[in-house]
Amino acid sequence: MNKEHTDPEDALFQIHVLGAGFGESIILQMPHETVRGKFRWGLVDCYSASEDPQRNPTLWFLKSRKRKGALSLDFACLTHPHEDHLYGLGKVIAAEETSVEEFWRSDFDEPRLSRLFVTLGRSDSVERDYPRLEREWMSLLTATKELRRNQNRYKRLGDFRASLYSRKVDWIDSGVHISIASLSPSSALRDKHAEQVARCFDEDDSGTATRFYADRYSRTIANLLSVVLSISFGETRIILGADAERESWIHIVNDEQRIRNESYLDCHVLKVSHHGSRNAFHEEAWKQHGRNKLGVAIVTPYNRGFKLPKKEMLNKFSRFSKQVEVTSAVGDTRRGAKLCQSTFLQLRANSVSGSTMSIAGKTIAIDHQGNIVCVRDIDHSQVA
Amino acid sequence: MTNKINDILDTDPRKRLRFVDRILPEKRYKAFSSLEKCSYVLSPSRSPESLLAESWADPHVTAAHKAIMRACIYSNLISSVRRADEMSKPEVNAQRRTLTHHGSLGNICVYIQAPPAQSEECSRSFAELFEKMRLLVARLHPSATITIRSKPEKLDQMKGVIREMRGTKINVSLFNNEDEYSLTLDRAVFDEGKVRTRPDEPFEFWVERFSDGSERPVVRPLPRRELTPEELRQIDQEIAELLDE
Repeated sequence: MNKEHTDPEDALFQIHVLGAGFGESIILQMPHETVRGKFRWGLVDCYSASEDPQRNPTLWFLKSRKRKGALSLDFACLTHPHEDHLYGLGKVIAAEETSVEEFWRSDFDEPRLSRLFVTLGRSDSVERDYPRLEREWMSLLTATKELRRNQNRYKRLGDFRASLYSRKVDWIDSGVHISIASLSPSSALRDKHAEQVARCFDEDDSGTATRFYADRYSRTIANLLSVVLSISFGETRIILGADAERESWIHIVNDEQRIRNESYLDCHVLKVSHHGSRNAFHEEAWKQHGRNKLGVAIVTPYNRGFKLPKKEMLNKFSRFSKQVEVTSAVGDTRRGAKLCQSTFLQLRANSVSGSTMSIAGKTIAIDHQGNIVCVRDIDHSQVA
Repeated sequence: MTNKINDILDTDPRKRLRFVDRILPEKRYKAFSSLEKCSYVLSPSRSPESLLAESWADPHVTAAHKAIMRACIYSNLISSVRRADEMSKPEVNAQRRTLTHHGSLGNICVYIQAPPAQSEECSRSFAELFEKMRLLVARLHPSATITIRSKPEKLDQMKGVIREMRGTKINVSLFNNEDEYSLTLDRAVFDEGKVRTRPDEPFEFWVERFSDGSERPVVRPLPRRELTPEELRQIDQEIAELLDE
């Protein structure tokens, strides 16, 4: 196996899931490559409570691993346009220190959705987060403008098993590859999403989105687009569920049944979709996740209005997974660790002090044969 | 749905009662009797303006009550209100079933009947009504608690609306046909007031003093600001530039 590394963890696939209580960023650290002399990195979603890049936990995290090449991302992926997955992503991509090779997002009518966000943000009658949503969305469009000009660097995801990424791991003799495919949204879900977005505009076509539909979009429609990523690393399978709800899982299970020669849902590590909500629980999908080997199911909490995950759901997940982890929990979830869900703890978890920032999250390290080597809290003081 | 309710309420009293009976059996409203002095009930015979003017002069009626009544009136869910003591007892009993709101001193209790159907249109009119109420209550009585009673089967429908009520303390109690207030939900499930507290106010509300010395309340929903065609064109242009279209 790995012949040249002093740190055995360098040969592992590491998944860093940040989530202090609201929002999630997933940073994928692929094994060190001896020929290139560095690691490959990927980013799936981003959340920063502050618009200030200096207080963006994802950017801090990447900077803290600058020596390992974390600022050169092979790809950045926006699973769906929701505040808790989107805020700060534009800033990370646009930051001077970072470079992004490819940008992936769901396949949706970008001009129309952009118009929805911008008209909401600029209309006086709107409330709450819409002005920020508009700014964040525009900053993302600006940051990805260059990438958009090249089809190979700007990918719209929407086909079951669409292959997105494939790299050979150069130090493994047997020719192990890392490959990433998207399992959702299906074309049917994309069509449904397009139909719903069309209804977000006034019937008289005045062009201003109504608040009612905008809220509705935010609550239910955006999740239809949620990208589900399936990552293979040798024999290891990792699924990142983003905010896919039951409907998405039904489509994935049905698609999979059509193909059947290989199970795409059987996995070693699962990022539980939609913060472990009841809406996102699809028994059949979970049965397939946990068919043989599901070692870790990791949940990012949601602490705005609803508090997710609920204990009953964590108990349910533990029927299928050997270990259930919550990113904001300090300590071992199995022993009833206290979830860091209050606003106060959430703020404290991502606070900046001098040259350090506290970041809440978990790291899962796994080898190419499906062995989970460790699950640990992310160091709470990351030096930028 | 709003139109449907209005049609029923405005036209045929028997039909109205049947309609109301179906969704609001009287036994659930027995708790109201002790608060009769502050009750206003529906009547198709009064105009909203006259009732508003009357309620303004009524010492029993607090500003918060008025706000709620106005919210109800302007939401088109009820056509007018009048004092309970002007009617005979049977009439009061009958009319009381149609109450969609009730004010009590101190806290504000808002009773709203969820639309009977689960259609999107229903949810929308319901959401709009709630939003109007919330804004008025937040403005006039910031420390108020809004109490929402709901049948368990309506709860899913309520959730989306309740989720929007940021900045307002909310208690939710459930009842079923057998037992009133049979279950009180954990309010943390619904309470979103902890994160944001700024209520936006697309309603105007003021007191106008007339030449005869009387004061009358004026509530006017602020028109939603439509973006001008020029602004929309500019937005399209900005987006097209960014998307290279």
